[in-house]
Amino acid sequence: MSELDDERLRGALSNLGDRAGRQIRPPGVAAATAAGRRRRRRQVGIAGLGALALVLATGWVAWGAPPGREVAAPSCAPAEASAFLPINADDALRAHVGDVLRRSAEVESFRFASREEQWERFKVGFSDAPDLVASTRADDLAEAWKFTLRCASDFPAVRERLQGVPPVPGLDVYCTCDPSWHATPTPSGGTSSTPPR
Amino acid sequence: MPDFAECYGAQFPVIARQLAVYLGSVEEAQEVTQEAFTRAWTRWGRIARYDEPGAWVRRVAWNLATSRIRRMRTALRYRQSQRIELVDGPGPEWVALERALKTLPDRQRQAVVLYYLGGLPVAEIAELCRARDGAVRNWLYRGRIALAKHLSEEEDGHV
Repeated sequence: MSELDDERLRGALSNLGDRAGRQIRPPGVAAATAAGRRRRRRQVGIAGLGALALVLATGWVAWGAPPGREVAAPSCAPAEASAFLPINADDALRAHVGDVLRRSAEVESFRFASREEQWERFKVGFSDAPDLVASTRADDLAEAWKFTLRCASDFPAVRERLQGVPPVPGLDVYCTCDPSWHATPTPSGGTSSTPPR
Repeated sequence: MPDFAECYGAQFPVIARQLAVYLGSVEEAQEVTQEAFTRAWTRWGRIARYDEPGAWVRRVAWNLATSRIRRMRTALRYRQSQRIELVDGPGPEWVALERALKTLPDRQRQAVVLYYLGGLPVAEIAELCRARDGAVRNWLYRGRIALAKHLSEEEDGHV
């Protein structure tokens, strides 16, 4: 297979895919819908608790708040985010990312998560996948700065600042609040065309 | 309105097959695909109205797969230890291809799998990857050169 033309590559990949395909055992529609139902119930429960908290808070503000004490209206939701350093990050890069976070007014708090800490979290998070844990070492995992944003909507600005000019290669910044991190389907079944970062 | 079970039956094997080649693990591919379908089910009323509900699921599944690789940074080691276990004795060409695929950067491997195995046009891959068409062509070009290089080295016994 020294010459690689499109047809040969297509054929070889197709063979590889077919061999994988023969081993695929879909867990089934019932499993997907059962998991979906559980998730929906959980979401409803969380939303219910949130609504209850809001009602109680509103009641406290309206009737119970001590006079003269201001209660800020929640204008934005806080969000957790992480900046994963490249595997070969040095002290200078670690310090640089920490400095950027320290100077960012949008960041409420931040802390460094060592490789060891990431490893402990990894083992817990993947306790149901012992093969994966066994084939992974702490060195495989990236150190990270974990930070909390006052407002989730500030994430793009902070990410841009962290990735910097000149860009820091291999620095990955994630937030579960980031819409581009989730699929954003359009009615055509495609996706919105967020420009690449 | 398409039925969820119909979409599952038609799309699960297709998506999981592509992801198995991308991730190098059938088990991982199944998990990720199932998670994408679970997410689809919770909002099926909306997704079912799209022209191609399967495209939504594919998008989510690929995002999850890429996210998993990026977050854990274990892709290389994991793929090395969790290779697709070929049922009836792999031919040398498949082993070489699988090994060569592992050497590609994620984006190139994703583009190669979606284009050559998934049969998606460049524009659709670009949309899925949130990249420009030119970037996808570049990944495909570089991916193919890298594959050719690794495969020829294997053939020559250099690796």
